[in-house]
Amino acid sequence: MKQLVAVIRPEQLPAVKEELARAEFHHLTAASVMGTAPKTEQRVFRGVRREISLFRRVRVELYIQDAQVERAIDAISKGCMNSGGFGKIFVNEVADVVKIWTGERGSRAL
Amino acid sequence: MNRAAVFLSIVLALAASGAAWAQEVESPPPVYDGLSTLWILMAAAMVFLMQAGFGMVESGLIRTKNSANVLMKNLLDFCFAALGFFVFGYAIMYGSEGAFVGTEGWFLVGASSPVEGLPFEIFWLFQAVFAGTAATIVSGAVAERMRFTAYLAYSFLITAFVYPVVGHWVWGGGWLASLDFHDFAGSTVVHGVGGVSALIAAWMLGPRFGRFNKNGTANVIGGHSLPLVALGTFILWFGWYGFNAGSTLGMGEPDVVARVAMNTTLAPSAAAIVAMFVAWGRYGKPDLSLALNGALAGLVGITAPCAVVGSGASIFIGIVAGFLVVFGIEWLNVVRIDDVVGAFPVHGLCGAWGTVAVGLFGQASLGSPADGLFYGGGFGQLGIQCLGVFACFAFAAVAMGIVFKTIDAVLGLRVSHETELRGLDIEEHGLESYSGFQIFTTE
Repeated sequence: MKQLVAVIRPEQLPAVKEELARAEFHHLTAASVMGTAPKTEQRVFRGVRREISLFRRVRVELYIQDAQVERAIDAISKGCMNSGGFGKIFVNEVADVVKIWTGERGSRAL
Repeated sequence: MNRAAVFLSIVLALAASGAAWAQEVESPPPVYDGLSTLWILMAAAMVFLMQAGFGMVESGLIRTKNSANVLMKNLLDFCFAALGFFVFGYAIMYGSEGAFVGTEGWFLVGASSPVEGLPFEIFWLFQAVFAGTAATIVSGAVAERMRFTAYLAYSFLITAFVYPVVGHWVWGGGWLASLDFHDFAGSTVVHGVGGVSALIAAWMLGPRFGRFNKNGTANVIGGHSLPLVALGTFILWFGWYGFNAGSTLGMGEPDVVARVAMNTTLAPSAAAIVAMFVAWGRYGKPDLSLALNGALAGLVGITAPCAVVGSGASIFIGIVAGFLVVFGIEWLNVVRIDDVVGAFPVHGLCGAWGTVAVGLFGQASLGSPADGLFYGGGFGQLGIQCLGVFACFAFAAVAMGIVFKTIDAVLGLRVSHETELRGLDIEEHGLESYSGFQIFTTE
């Protein structure tokens, strides 16, 4: 079992979600997060220049079977490329999963 | 004591004769009605506050990423309305008694108040805040996607040229006025024009990204703050007492002012209740935003007939408005026009209904030009009301179609897809409404 964590820009979420749904990934978790980037941005607020170093990002998490990883990566990548081409995907190993309602464990619980 | 009285009367007599003599040379100083002036000043301020009402309703019904943008539009459309109405608007609306447009008093040079006892400036102010109301109705319908510069151009053009033409026809001695078309406070003149412009603009802009699916079904793009929508609606309702009861243009007939205020309470109450139950029946739950839309629908509906109908008729007008607004919003989803706040159902549909209702429920004894259909007056007044609504709506649709097409060609009506997704606040204004909050900026 794998965990996919994609960090993308907020405006990319609709496109990524659409591609994931098309690839039949119906369970995802998304959170609004802030992240730094090597380049900062200058923004003027009430005439005062301000350096913005924390940007709004969305973290999309997916928990999937090992065999689904490439398909999910393709879907996320396609969605990201359709919306500007930003983003990064991290793939992690998942030790165990528990489905509370049935008590099932491991890949059956996904 | 007696001597003093005699002396005083001599002085007064001299002063009076002096005044009489002066009269032959120059016009007499105008006599103002202080109470009326005070009331219209207050009413104008209340109508001005409706800008805040519109601002809260609209920003609450859209996503956080665009709410500063819609408030900018609400502020600036009033400011452009004030200047547009100063430069051209007033002259077109009240300048002279032509059938179609007034042609005198540009920049208010030589302009005067058509209402006896009311200083010109207060009359102008009261009319200017009405023009601002007509302009600001559109901002909600085009929210989250209309380019800011395009909106600025629009708000000047509607208040300088489009709204005043309709205003002239109905209130400035134009052809509809001579037909005895009756629109007391502007169901058609203000709300009809604003509502039709909103529909045309929303249709030309196209729906927001994600509002409709490819198979034609509608999605909900939820508003970010229902408390703001509710606050805005209460502010609008409060302002409406100035809007309707101030349209008496004075305190000369307190009974009319009182009747207007009472009708302005009954109709929105009935409409909100009906809208709530219709939504409850059709969608399973009483929806706050639709009930609030219902109250506004009733207010728009009673705006034209408020002075010339009884309380029972007001309640009936409100009931119909409550149905119209919910089904109107459903209709927009069917034809896939993305009117974000329901500006057309509230202001356009109910504006038309209220104006037509004068021909159904109007009573000559209360000041209607003729008895309505249900009071034995036959179809005469009803026909005139229908003709007036049709003419004003058609003119507004064509004129605003030309205005928006021109703006689209020169400035571009709609923001880019990327701007729409990132939000107009950050892209067009470089700021966020809720800086520091963790909020999803898409969806």
